[in-house]
Amino acid sequence: MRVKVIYYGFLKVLAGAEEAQVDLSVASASVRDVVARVAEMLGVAPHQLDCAAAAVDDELVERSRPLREGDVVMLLPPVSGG
Amino acid sequence: MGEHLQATKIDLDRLLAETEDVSSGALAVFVGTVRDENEGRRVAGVTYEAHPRLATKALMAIEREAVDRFEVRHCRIVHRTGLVSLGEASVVIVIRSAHRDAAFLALRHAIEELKRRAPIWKLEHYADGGDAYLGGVPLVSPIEVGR
Repeated sequence: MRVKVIYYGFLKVLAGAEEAQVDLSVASASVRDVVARVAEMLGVAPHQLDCAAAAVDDELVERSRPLREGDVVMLLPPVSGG
Repeated sequence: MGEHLQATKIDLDRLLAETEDVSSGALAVFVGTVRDENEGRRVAGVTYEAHPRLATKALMAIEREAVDRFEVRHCRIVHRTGLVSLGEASVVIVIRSAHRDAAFLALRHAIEELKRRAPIWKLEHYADGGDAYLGGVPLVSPIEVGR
């Protein structure tokens, strides 16, 4: 299955892009699987993305959230507004 | 209800007019401004980026909380996006309440919660060139580490 990932904050710099298509060689996947794949793509250890929250359909979601083909996962690093 | 995020200068007078209320005896305002130094580096400006829908939801929730929890009459929060110059306001919070105690408590609550919960990121631009995203607070989202 394929999903789109949108990067925010420093993750955009790390990725060198604002978004990416992520292909997963499984029929069903969760946000955790996508984050693990993104870590591989970015060349970082998966735990280095633990600080990033994920959102789908404008809601913060847990890592166990199942995904569907074509979903958009937003990766939100630690926030610094104010 | 006005906007919560805007790419143009925040108009405090407009927020005061929007919340005008003769039954409130206290008006408390917090204005966060861009400082010219951070951790020893000269700062030339800051670009604020936000996830517009999630940030708006978070700011609206914080406004509601301030009213419900501290029984203030009005809470309005507006945060800048885009490039903000030195000394310019990055965030303005306006609280109106019957009495000052509630106004101060709600104001403090609102800014602290904003810093913790609003998906907004600060990209600092330095006077000597270069820029960097500041480290921040992980959003409160279950990440189930180790599960």
